[in-house]
Amino acid sequence: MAARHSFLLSVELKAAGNEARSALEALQEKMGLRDLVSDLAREELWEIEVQARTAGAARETIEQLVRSTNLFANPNKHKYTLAAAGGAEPDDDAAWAAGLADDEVAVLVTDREGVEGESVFSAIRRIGADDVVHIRKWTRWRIRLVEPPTAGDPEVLALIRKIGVATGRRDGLLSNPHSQISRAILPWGEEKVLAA
Amino acid sequence: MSESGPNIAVLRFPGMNCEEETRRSVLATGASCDIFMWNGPTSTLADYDGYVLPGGFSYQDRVRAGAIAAKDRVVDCLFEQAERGKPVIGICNGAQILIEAGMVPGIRAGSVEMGLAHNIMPDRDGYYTRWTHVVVAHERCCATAALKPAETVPIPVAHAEGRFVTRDEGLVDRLFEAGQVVLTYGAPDGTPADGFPDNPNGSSRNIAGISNPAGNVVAMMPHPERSSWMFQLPDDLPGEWGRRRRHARGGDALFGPGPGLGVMSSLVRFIENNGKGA
Repeated sequence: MAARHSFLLSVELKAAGNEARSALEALQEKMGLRDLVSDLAREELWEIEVQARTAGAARETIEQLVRSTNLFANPNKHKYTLAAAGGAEPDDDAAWAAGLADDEVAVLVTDREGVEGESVFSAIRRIGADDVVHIRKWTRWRIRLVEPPTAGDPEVLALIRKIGVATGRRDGLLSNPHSQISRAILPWGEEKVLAA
Repeated sequence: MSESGPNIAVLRFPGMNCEEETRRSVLATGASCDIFMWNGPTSTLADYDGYVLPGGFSYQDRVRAGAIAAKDRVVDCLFEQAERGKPVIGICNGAQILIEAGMVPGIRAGSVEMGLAHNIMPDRDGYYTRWTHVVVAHERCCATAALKPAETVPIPVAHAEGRFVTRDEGLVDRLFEAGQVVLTYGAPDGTPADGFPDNPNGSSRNIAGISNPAGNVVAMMPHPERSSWMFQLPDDLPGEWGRRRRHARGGDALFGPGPGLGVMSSLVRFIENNGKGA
């Protein structure tokens, strides 16, 4: 009997990312956070659910789609990893925090209506991949802080909010709370909703 | 304001691509106009009587359309000038910058109160361009002061993120009540758009442009500089302006003013009505 299997496909540029570079410059120079933020990386996380008899078959379906279409990654410029994820929500699985170093925090951002994932989902259904049942695109920003964050420090979350959610002319960059949902992942595994 | 008319700055951020057309459109009103670079001397920005942020892709739309430019120092200066009452019009990417900078709707000036989200369209996604019929919903702002109430103005849109949204329940109602929704998408006959394609992006209640409470800052998604002359209009455009366009075929009228010029004329009218430095 077929069941739903969830995966996270992480896609990252092989070369240094211009978008992350611009975001870092904005944080450090335009928002005055140079003393607090030292580096920034950007990945696209595709939350994909496949209806299949086994997790292995579901994984093969996704890998086949990645290899045979250019919808997720271009092998000439992207590298990607595929990991099983326990559920459809970020706080369901540690896969969302994979690769996070001790001095890094992550901000996850997706558009409220899932428009970007929906368009890829439609394209995949048009080419006959009917066993794919859900796709949502997230952006994961990995933020390296100058001072490694410590559990329970309220200033860490305040800083992540200042970086992650645009609330004012000088505050927040990585998501607009009116059009996007965002969450923070802290290196000790804790997750916080930034904008629901 | 010089004797020959107001002096307008068109702010150019890296990645914008409509500054020259926008400048030409402003010049056609009789105003003076310069293109002001984002990294230019901000001390001279105050010398201008009004400002236009044109369309394009500032900072290549990295992070989110308008998000990085909104943090530029020149926007701080723009904010100060707007607080003094000087008019600012943001067109498309310029609108995205004003929204991200919290200058529009500006109920709590400087707070981000709305977003411009991805277009929602049936059976398609992403970037979309078409001629729209924009209806003047309120004529007391700097983008509509020279237009008539309920006037229908054909202006094209071209964007991927143009859907005005907010998570503040009731805000859109309050904006309508306060007259801050200044432009809406309509059908060619001026009746409210009934979904796609007259509303090209799924914007809440057909909103095409919003002002701040004072009416001197406007964020609008359609590109008036692309309908500032009659020859820019397509031959098959429906409605009164389409009829005029077909009548002008082959004659001098083809080089006459188009419907979008009214937006730039409104900017000049607003300055004349409110005086230099407002």
